[in-house]
Amino acid sequence: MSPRSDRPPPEFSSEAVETAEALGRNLLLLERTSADPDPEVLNSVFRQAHSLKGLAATFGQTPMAELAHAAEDLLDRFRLGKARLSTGRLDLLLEAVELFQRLAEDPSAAVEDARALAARLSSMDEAPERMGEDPLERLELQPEVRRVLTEFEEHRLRETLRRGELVWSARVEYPLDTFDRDLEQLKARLRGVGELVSTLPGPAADRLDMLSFVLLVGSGAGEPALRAVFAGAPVELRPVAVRKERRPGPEAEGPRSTTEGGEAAGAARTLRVDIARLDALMDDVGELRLIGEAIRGLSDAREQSPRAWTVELLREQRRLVRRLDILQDRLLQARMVPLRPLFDRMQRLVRRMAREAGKELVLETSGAEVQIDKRLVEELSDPLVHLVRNAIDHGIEPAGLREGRGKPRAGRILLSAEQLGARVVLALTDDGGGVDWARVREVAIQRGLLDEDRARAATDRELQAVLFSPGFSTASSVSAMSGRGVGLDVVKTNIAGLSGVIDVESRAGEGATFRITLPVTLATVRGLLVGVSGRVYAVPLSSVLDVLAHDGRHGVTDDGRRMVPVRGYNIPVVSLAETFGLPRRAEGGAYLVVVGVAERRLGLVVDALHGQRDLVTQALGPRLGQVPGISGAAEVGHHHTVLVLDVGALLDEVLRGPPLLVAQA
Amino acid sequence: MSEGPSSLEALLARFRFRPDEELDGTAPLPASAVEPDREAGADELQLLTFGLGTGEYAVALGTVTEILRARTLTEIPRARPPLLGVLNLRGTITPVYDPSLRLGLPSTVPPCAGPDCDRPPRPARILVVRTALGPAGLWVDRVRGVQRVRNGGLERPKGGPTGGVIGVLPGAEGGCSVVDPEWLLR
Repeated sequence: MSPRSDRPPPEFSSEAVETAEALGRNLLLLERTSADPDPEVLNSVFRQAHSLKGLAATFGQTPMAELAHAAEDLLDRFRLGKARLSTGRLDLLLEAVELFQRLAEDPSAAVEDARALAARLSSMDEAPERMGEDPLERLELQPEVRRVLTEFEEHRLRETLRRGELVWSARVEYPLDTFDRDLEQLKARLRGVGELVSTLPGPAADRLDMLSFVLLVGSGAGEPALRAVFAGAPVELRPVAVRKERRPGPEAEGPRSTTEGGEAAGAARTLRVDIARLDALMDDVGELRLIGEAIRGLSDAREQSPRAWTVELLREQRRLVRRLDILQDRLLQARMVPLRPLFDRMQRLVRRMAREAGKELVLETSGAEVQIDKRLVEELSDPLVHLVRNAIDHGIEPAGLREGRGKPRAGRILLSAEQLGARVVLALTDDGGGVDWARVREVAIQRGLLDEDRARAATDRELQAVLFSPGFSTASSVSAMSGRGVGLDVVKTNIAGLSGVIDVESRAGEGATFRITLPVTLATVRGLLVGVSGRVYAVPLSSVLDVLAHDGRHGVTDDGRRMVPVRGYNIPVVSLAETFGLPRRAEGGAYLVVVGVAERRLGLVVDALHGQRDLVTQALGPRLGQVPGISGAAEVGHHHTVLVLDVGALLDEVLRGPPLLVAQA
Repeated sequence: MSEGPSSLEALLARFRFRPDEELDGTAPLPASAVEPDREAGADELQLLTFGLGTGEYAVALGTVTEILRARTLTEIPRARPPLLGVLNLRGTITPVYDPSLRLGLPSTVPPCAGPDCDRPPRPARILVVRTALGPAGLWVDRVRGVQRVRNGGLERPKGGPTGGVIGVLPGAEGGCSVVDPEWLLR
């Protein structure tokens, strides 16, 4: 952007004015109900501020974008019940609406006013108002239901309880082709009777053409009124019990029941799927039905010439395969979820852990919108928690020390995600002291992981491998959270189990970055099957860069490393048979599989290529733990189990020396 | 002891036996230790006895979740004894070990993983045991059967209890050591 603020295009001005007007209308609506604001209105005000921000940013209108951002922030806190709506605050927001309209017409009009107001809006932070125990804790929701609730939904449930109303759980079934309309209609009928807080997928319905849902409804109306709303549709309706605590609240007087029986058991390991995606899947199913019909038609057409008949059959077969491919793609797509909920969890966790550790901390996130396989999100949680703890316990210095080092008192942790092709890179960066390699060296000797000579000769990069080996932990004091000796090795094993790799980059005195590289989906990992000395191993295709014929010629570096020129670069090569200590075979070493992670490259010499397969990989389990060079196993063909290579570990090993520990009993 | 085999069958019914995995017959059960037609009570210990080389050993039946006919395993590169390899047990990767080394015996397990392995001998079995670190397999030369012992009915091993040998089954010819599978795997 040029510093001179050019006049924005007319479509910007008109849309911004319109949005600002709508925002103003809704704010006034809120003022009339400020004691108990309508959540729907709050949500739409929030959305309007958000779209204003997006609009302004798109057209490079920074002052407006910043003001909208500040307004959006405050509205978000209202929405989640973290701040209370007051007249003073509404005044400020309405002032912002005025400014939006002026800025929309003339971007240079009130730049300073906008900046000042944004600052005032942002300074409206307040201490959390919630006191005492969380009423939600007393609501007997099943943990798997509780886990999938969004922060907003949790807030709405709290509000329901605060008003002394009941939370009802209703299991309903709707036909597959009309359920979205049915849900909308239900929501409309509920107005005035109660509030539909959450729509969760229910357990599998008895009929294939029905979808079942578990709805959480907050309502002060009695059961008959609610039943009337659900009119007609079969429904299992029951109140969610509220445990009584010392103080008998009004909510304890309502009808009681328990949620046992697991009506929402289906919510464990469940997934919310965009309806448009489900629609597309339904279309695929329709198409498959047509193919089924066509094939049935063929069986009636036997009087045709056999040749024509065969051609027809083949054509239908190809259609079938094509459609199944599409279906598989769409299903994989449907498994994709954004990282945001996981990042939000980390946000909450950091607040708690920082308090427990007595440190000042800010967690920033970026890339929360990156989508990865639902199962990966679940499996990523533990390793991330571990890394965050690690950063808080060992990375971020106490505030006093930080000031002495000329850093801001509050430590900063950045959690970011980025998609690169079929991979996702998650990075956790802290601005603490960085990894203390001298201490790592010392501990490695103490624990007998390295002998003194080797430890002294080890470079920082070589010491990385030690950092991730079992039983290593430099915590000098055992804190409540980490430093119990279960350490980064567990993180590394977990990540390897997801066909991923973890790496650390440390800048002394400035902080450290742990970087996790993962495939985007786990449902299946595409693997290249390679033959080595009569064995078969799978190499995750996501780390295969090149496959070449190999004539066995290579150069040797001073330190005895074998190098082969590949497309203009010398890369280190290693015979997988030698690395794994397998007997050599006569026909050996005909192919070079070039693998790589980040900027590192390695050529694996193998005997044979057995094609690609979609693999469902399994972890090796806790007893075997870390097996150098192997990340898991997968079944191919009939009861034949092959091992999946851990490319990251092989790179470490070849580029840094032999493994420190070898699988044993 | 005519009920011996039939009650054994009933006991083993909870294991996944295929017809071709019938046992090769059970050793005569010492009368002193066994009352065949009684359900296991709290005052009783049920033991699964098996052979390694020429010796007889036993583990508590409760720790065994499955008995498999020995099969070719998937080799783990650079694995050291006693790890023999892994097998895929309905989706759970299960490591299989040679228990003889821990017991100070010469190994009797033929090559059983990788491309050059032999067909496992017919009587060989893999006992899948439940451990704190997930399931693990023990390769044994043969399975004898189930024996019941009254609590406290085990004899002290010669020279007192050592390592994982909990006791010795009374009356068994040549001695039958009762071992702790967790110790065998340590």
